[in-house]
Amino acid sequence: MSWTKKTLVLLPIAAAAVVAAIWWSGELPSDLNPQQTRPTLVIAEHRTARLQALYQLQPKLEAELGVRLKIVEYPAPPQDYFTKLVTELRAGNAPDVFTVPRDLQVDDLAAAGYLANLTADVQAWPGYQQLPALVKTLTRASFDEQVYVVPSIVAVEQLYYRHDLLTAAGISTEQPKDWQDLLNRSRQIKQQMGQFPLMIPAGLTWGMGSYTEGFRYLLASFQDYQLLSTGNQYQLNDDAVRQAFGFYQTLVQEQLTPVNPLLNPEPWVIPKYEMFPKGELLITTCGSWCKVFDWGPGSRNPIANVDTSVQTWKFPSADGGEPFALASVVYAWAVNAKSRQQQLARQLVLALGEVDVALAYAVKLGNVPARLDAKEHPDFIALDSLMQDHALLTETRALRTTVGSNAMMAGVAQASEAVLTGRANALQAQQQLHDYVVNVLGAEMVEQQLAKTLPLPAALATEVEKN
Amino acid sequence: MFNMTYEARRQFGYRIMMTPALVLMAAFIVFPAFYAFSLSLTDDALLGFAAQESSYVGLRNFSRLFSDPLFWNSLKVTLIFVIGSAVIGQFVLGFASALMLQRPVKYKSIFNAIICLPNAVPEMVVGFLWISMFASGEYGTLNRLVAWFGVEPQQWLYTFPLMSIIIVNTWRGIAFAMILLTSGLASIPKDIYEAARVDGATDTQIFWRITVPMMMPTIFLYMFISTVTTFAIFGLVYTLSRGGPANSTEILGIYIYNQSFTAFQLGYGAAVAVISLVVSMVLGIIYVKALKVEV
Repeated sequence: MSWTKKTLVLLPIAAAAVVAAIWWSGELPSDLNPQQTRPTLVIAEHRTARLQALYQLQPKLEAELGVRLKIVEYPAPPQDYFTKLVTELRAGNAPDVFTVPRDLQVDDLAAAGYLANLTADVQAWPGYQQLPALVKTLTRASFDEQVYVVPSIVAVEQLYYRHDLLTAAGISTEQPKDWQDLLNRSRQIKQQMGQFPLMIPAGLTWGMGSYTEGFRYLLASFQDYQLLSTGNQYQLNDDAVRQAFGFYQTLVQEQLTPVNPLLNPEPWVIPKYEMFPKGELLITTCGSWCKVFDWGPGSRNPIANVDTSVQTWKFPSADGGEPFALASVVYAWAVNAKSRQQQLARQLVLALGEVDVALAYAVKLGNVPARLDAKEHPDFIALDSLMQDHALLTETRALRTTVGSNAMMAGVAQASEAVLTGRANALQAQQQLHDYVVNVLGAEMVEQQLAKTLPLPAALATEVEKN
Repeated sequence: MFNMTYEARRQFGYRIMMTPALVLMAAFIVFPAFYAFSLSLTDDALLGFAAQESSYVGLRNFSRLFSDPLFWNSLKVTLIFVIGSAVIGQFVLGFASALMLQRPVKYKSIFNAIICLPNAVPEMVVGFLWISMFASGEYGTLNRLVAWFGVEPQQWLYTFPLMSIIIVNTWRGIAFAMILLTSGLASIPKDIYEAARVDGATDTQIFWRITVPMMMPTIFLYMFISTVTTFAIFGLVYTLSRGGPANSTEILGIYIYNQSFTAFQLGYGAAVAVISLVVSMVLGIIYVKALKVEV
């Protein structure tokens, strides 16, 4: 073999040997590092505020559990986060520990076999006794009543209104008694102030928020209505559903809500971040996070003296019941059913359910800790407005869902968009929702028996019955 | 093998050389297409019980699809988008650019580079770039431009959603049209033009009687490629509008994504993908027939 040929053969071999040596030597020190010898738990987290909270807690959690936490940053928008998480869970390469954005997604994830059953761990955990009954219910899957998540924080959701502007205009800021009262107040705002009075999220681009931040309030307005029947079927033929769409229809027909912004790709931006701070929208559904994220001093369009300028009403009932606040268990911690570190992952999620962890998140996110004993924590006592919301925890309302909630929410988004764009009236929207859910989930998931027909509230009757 | 004729050995050699490409095509194109079809006959999902154990549902997804107004809307939007941006926008402007740059133009290479630049930018980046252009409020680039003419700030992506995405895709695709059509123009023998001029033909006559007929194979080839690729566009429109407002820009790619990864219904999403594949194939066959190319 000539020298040239030898060089051609030996050169790549030598280069490969050098690369391998560098790689190996790079690995070697870390293998000897005691930090690396600890078991590693991969934890998914997203959104800057949540990441900041987790990074802040990381050293404490690592020391407590003797593990190394590898934090993987996921996309910020909730839908993108959830899509990425679900595809990874399906592919079998998801992190050991992650959060479930909303309680109503627990059933779907658990039914798919993605979540580890935490019932024994959670029930033996002292923190479990500190959870309000509603929160305990929302952490269980409806199809087997097993616990799959550890709650940490709760969103308390109500109507937020511009107290400063309504007062200046001489419009009552009393708690509206019922839907009719709320609609009458809205009409008065429109007439006197010439602005859009009320925004309840709806439409396709708001995605699951059309249900969680919108339609859910309207359904929960009926004391006797439950979204799930005793047989765990969706009760979509109930008249409460028609009336809920009727409420939207009234808002649209009387131009009490800004429709066009709700059809935008990011429908929350204009009404919540622009119109509400400018006083072009006076009332909106929102959660305890709004005074921090949407209009707080660090937000893009802060409202001056937000704690006093913006105040809350409970959502009024449709049928003479008491006004109410809604609760959602948000970002509850779950363990990947396929995690190879089951025991450690379970210990980690229980540690993440402790009050100090919940507080670290609550402060940054504007949500309230799920546990009732948080009210005794000195750091929490300092957060006055969140304390008020936390005090509501034991009296909040929620609608339980079951497997297929994702399809139900997609159906609500479609049907409510049809109302927004005038393509459907309340009855047609109800039919559209029913048909969509039957198409996707099958007829067995929808209660087919027609429930009682309720008279429409007088406030709606004029406009809705004309159609 | 040693007994093979020269021709047989040559054919065998070709087949061996084609094998890697065929294996890759089978693995990444043919197999996924068949897999999508088999998936479309199930209720497979990413969530719920069906994620653990899907069942065969026959043609239920297809029957649901054909009665779904959102699917028909999506198909309509896709056709308008393809015709508006690929068939009309990119072709007309690409052809005009190709013709213009055939002439002796000063700083020709600079014009070439300017026209080619949009094609070098990834489609997601193009999407974000145009979001900034179309941004509502007085600070949006386009709103600043129209403000010089006294026009009030507009919400472009809300008021003219489909037109907006057509414009963006046209802008992005001109370069490809120009390059392909320039190569077609270059292949027309110069002596035909000279003969026509000697016979006293005007520029318009030369264009319609010589350039266009001689360019027909290239034009059809361009139409074929651009139609099929535009049909499959996703990232650009997803970045710009996510299919909204009110589904007005929900092209098939976005509809498939929404069904599969927002509603998490893999079976139904696959059924839409199969229909999309069929539509693309039909269009492809029409173009191939028009080109009179044997496949």
